[in-house]
Amino acid sequence: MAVASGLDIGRNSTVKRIAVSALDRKTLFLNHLANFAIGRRIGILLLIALLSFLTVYPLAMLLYGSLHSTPPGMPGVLNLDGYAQIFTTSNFLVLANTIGISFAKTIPSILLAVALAFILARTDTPARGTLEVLVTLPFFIPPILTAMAWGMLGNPQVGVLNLVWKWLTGATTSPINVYSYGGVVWHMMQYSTPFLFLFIVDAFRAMDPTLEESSRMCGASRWRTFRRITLILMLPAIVSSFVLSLMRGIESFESPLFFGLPAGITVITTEIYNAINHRATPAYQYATALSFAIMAFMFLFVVWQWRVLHGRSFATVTGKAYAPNVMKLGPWRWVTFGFCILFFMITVVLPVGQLLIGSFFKFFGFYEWDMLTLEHYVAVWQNKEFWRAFGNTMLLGVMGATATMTLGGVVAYVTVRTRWRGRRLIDVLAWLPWMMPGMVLGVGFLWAFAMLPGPIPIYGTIWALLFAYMALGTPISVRVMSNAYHQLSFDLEECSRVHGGSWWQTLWRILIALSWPSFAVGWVLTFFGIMRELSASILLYSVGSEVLSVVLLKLWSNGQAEQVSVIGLLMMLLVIFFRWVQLKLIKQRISTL
Amino acid sequence: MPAVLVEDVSRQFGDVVAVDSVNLSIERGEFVTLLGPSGCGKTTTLRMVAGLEQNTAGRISIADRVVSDADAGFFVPPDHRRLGMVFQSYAIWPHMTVFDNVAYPLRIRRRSKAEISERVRAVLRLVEMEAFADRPAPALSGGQQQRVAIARALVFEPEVLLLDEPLSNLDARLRTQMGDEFRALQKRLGITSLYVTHDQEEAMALSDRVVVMQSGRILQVGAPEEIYQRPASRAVAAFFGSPNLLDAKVTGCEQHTDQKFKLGITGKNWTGECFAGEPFGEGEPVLVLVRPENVHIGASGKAPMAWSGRIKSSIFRGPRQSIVVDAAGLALNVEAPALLGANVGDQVHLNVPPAGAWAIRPDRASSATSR
Repeated sequence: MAVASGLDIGRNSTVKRIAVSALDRKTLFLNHLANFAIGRRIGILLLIALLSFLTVYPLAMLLYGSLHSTPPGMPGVLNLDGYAQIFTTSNFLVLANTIGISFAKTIPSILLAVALAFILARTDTPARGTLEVLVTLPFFIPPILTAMAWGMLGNPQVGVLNLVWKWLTGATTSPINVYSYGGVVWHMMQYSTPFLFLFIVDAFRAMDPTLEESSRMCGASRWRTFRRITLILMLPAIVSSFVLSLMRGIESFESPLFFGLPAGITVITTEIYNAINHRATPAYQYATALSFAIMAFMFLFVVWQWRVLHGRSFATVTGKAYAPNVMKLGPWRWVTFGFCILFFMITVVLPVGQLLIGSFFKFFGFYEWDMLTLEHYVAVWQNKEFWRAFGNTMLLGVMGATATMTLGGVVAYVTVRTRWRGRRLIDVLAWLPWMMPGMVLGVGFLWAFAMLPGPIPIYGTIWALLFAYMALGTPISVRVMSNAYHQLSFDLEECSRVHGGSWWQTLWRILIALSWPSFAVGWVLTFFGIMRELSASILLYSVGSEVLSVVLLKLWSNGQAEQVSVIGLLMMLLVIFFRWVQLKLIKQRISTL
Repeated sequence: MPAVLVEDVSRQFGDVVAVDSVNLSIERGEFVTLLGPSGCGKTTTLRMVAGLEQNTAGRISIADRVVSDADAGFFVPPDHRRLGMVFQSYAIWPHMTVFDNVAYPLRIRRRSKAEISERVRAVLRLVEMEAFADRPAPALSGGQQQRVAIARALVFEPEVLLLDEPLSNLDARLRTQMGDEFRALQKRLGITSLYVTHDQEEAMALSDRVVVMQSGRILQVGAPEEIYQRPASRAVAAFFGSPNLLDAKVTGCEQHTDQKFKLGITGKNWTGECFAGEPFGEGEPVLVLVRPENVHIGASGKAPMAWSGRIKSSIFRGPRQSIVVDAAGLALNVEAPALLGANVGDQVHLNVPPAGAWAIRPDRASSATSR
């Protein structure tokens, strides 16, 4: 009868067959071993090692540094002085400022974001597609650019808005002063609103319209349906965005740096920055202890967010696309249209216009015809530091985005598509930076690089920034890639395996080939993130490894607002170009899948 | 020499036993279908043959080559098993054209350009998709995707073709057509096929042999006719349609042919004759299976099994009507020609010829038999 055992195959067959099947078995077995057991285990270990270096190591060094009495790299003793120093009355005010400002910007931002999301997802407002691109644009502009532009627009002495107001009304006092609580909140709102919008709008879109229709069929009015069904269904998305926005507000650095510090308003990030950069002797232990404390504080927020979401991820997108109910607004649709345009004018056109004007006049604030000049363009062109920073930013952007997305792609593959041992740990490690503000991670890496054994000179080089950017970008890259993988059915992969594709061939020819648009979209997102990053860069750069945002800040501190405008415009062009590429890719992906 | 040999194969997920000591042997060129309700382990069995799932016990061989032996810790990954597979979702890769999809198994095996082109054209001609070679895959209808999936699975002449509910995503008309076409193709090429479905009609129409599975075990293996007319247990009998299962006692037993015995039986207020696959002693209880289409409505005939009763309900189904007759407390399902025009409340006579009744042991509900 049938061959009962693989070992018996030879006995029942010809001699030739024995040789063939034995060889077959041997190669197969080796293949199997190489592919699955050892290779996989080594790969997993390498991945864990890399992720630990990016996240656990700076975290541990942060704790060590907060207990270490002297700056990194110097002999000292371990004590609790750092923690003793942070419990002061002025720090209580700092904490109150941080949280208060974060709440103050989150509440109006979320209201605006919900309004915009509703208008663009659920009403027949004209040109919704274009409006959505315009409304979300401020999210992609580096906050440092708008901060500088608003610094010029809302300057109490020579700000354009104040000048126009005085000219219109004949008043002698300036109504607007951006160097205030209001200024900090106002600037934060400009990038937090589109950020929240991007989260909420998908929830509005992903909603099954029959849920609302059945409410109407039960006799509920449109308003009642909105209150009892639509809003309640949106609530998880809105609440989780709210918590996220609060966390981002606490991490925010640019707004309090530009508008808070000149007015004597300090928040935690600027307090850490001050302690290291603006004191006669940098208070490393104090700054590190503060960083560690704020991270513990952020952890509470993360726990809160988990509780709010009952352990679900904060994504509300189900992946299934519905054609949502569109509300007919009649003539009111022009009002909503105008509302969106107004938002775009205030958040983009005004600041960019200011940069444009600022770049062409001899001195910012003195706008006369005979002051028109191109000298700032020439000055920037001849500025060696600018070119070096430009080169560094581009290099770091390309390398950082590629490395971060590759890492994210691998991590997402392991956590989403496999049942390998160790994947939970990898998931947690990759997610850790989520609760580390850029400033805190910067301090952590400062210690981490200084404590590396001798012959590894990372500190002070461009690699220091690269590692920091990778750590900061990894949670987002993992998210983007896991979303992409979730959309691909397992059949597509398994089908390739059955038809002869090895694990690597399947990964390359099927999974990567199918998810590269997501990879590219995430790449651009990470690139944006690197281009705008200031808080970690300002701590980790040194002469020769400056990036654009650092150079901008330096020029601004030196009062060279005109050159800042020129560089800002250039960055704006980059933003628009990459955003355009990204939108192209998103469109293409939707049409092919 | 079986093309596929499955010996005592089990699959455990934690505490759940999805497949429990399954034995199966498939001959070369044979079309075997795994049939059962969802969750019966049929797809897991198929995936273990494919190598997409690792068996926790037992041994699987394909074309005389052991591909998985749980005890020896030996496992050949799917890409080294030389199989073709058609997935329920078709798994047509959306970033490739029809040609690229079908050429994939050949490209992976580094065949020459000329050979790839020739073999892909040939197999596309076979499934009548030649004209669509340069189409992007997402621009195909469900039926066309099906054909492409079959072409891709056949292109490198696999040892065995595996099919996981390939017709379930098609509408009813297309399903029958594609099923018949595929069966014709399979017979012509003589390709060994292992097919998974939950649709009984599909299983009977396509297969050489049907394997009925439930709760991870095989209930019965046999030709479609055998499974349908001569089930080994109540569970198999009940799996097809809505049969009448009547309690009765044996009054006599005689050998009819080698494997067949003729029984005299008596039930509550009725007597009759039927066949069985094993001998029964006098007075033994049996369960008599009567398919609804084997119950005839008409004048009280001379058939040994007969009832008279009143029509309780009637459902018109186009070619036929489904009737429930209340015969002295016994509710009988009857499939009658629609032309009969029977109405609810009518008094009718029912009779069943001995060939239309099959006796099984009542307690054999869960025991398994195999060839």
